[in-house]
Amino acid sequence: MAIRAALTSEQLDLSARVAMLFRTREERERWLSLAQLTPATAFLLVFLVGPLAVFLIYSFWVTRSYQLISEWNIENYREALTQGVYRDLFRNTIEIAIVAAAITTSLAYTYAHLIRFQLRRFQNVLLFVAIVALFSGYLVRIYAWRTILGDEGIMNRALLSLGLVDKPLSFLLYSRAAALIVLVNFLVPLAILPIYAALQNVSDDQIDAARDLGAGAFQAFRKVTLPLAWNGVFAAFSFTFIIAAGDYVTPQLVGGTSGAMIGRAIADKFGVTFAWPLGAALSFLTLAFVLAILSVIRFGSRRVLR
Amino acid sequence: MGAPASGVGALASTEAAAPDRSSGGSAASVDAAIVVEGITKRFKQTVAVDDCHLVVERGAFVSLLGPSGCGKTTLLRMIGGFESQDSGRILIHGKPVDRLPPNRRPVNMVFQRYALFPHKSVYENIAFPLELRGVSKKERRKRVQESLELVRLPGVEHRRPTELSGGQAQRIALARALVGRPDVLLLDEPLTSLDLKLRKAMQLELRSIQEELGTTFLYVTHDQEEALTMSDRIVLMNEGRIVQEGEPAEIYNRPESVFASHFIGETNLLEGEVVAVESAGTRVRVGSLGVAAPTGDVSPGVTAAVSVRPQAVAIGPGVVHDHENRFRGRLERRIFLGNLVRWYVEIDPGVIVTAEGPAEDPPLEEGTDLEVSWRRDDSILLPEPS
Repeated sequence: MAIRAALTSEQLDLSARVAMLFRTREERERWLSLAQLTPATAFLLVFLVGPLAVFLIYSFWVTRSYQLISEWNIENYREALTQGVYRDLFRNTIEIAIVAAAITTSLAYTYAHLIRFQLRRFQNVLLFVAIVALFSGYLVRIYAWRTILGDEGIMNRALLSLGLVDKPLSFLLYSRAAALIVLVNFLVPLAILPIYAALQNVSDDQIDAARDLGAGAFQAFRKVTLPLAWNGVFAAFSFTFIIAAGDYVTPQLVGGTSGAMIGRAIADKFGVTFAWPLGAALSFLTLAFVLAILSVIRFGSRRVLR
Repeated sequence: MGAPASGVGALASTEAAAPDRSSGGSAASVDAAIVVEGITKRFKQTVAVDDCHLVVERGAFVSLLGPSGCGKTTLLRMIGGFESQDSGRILIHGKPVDRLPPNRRPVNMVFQRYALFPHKSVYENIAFPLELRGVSKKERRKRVQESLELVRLPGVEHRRPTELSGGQAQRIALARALVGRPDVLLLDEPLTSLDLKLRKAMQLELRSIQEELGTTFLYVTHDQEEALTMSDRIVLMNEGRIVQEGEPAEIYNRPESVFASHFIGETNLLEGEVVAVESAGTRVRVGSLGVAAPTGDVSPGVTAAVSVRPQAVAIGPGVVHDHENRFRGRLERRIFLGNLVRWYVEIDPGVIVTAEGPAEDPPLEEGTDLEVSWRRDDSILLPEPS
């Protein structure tokens, strides 16, 4: 206290003056961490939680002559769950998204495992390649796949010139398979990074120890490497599953009828048809399905991976 | 797996009772715990392990000692099956293991940084090898319990590895490696990450666990004191080669090379030229001095080194008369070590001899002229490394 009195305020720099606002070091650190959390939290509250809350409210309203009217009801949810068209779209969406996420995660795991363990010398180059792929344009890639898979595309022309088919295979494009290919291609780089990061935390010693204690290569993977990397693998699966389930461009451009997904329908509700309440209800149902499936996987994996 | 293990115990106890293990006895080596025959391993251009031959008797505690990068860990990892040799072969309990992966070799390893599985509890960690082998749940529980008692850490089954201290974690790693009753336990500098006091306690404990079980331990370390403390035999390695092998006292008292004398214990190394070879001994000229050494395999004119341990060097005026080596010098530095004092004496320009002994009274002042002396037989004559 004596020292503090001896100093004039000019002699104290700003940080020291701020520091004196708090009595103890713990108190100061608590405030500091709070201050650090504030901007991101505020941003998420205003631009994510806020709009979501608004749409959650809308989903219980109705529209009449292009006006939102606050007439509380659950008709939107009933319609979304009972109408055959939405049921089919939900089923398609979940199926495609799960398959896409599963394929993506497996491919990404293989790649990440390879650069972490087998090709360690080239890991920087290979990671760079993955990141570059991440930044190449989404639409550009969809159109690239259209030119590859389309009637006039490389695949069909090659098949024609080899005489394997006598007219272009139109099912290459506008099919579920096409939607899956495009989604996987787009998502793989995104999934590599979290898996790679998680594999960095698995030490060579731990794998050696597993082998040493009697585990074969697969058992060491199954009982040590995978459980230790699981958080990253699950993060990769969640990312890709969520993105795939919410995509509405890919299915429209390459998916055809068998590859149609709920995202397109939701986009239409908010666009041309101006059925915001129904669109919001469909959105929240999608969200609920996605979260339910991820929870089941999370919970189930905790029992299996020990 | 269980059957041979019990046999080892019986055999090992008789082995341990008779510490007479002359190296290279080929009749005994057929059935030795480990036989390494002409193992060589290259990493790109560098030769990590260079034509090593080694026989480890059953029930022995053998240390692979050497500076970092001398190939000792690589050799251990080849025995464990984590690296494959370029040439040579390895037998464990008489059976070649060269084609076997680590999980099918009758050895287990303790790693430097424990390598416990953080997603498993202590119990699950120790039970892991038993579970893989399909040991029944009841039997597992019993064996884990025994292992924990062996490493004197019962009652931590339900903790996570992250909740253990370094010393505890290493004990659990040891319990996990021993629970499957391996023929041989490989230890890769297991005590390096512990602090000094704990390390010393663990050295003795490791040794008593080894004696209790009678399992063969092959222990890699760069710490000569650790190797001297624990081992039945020390295998000294340098630059990929085994340079000397023997019991601790043998290695300490009769180093066969400048490297060996330098690496194990502190020593004075006096380099010079052999001037006379007589029946009584050898004379080596070091600077302007003539140093007496025992007879050795040298001829006049070659360069050689004389190694003498600091505790063999006496100081002071009026010293013992039967010391063949006797030189006048100046006390450059006197260091108090607690139980001992170390004196650095310059006996010729640039030639400093270190002596060590109980404190003198009154203490000598730095700069004093004095005499250092030692017996000829305390000189160790070493051929120059060239």
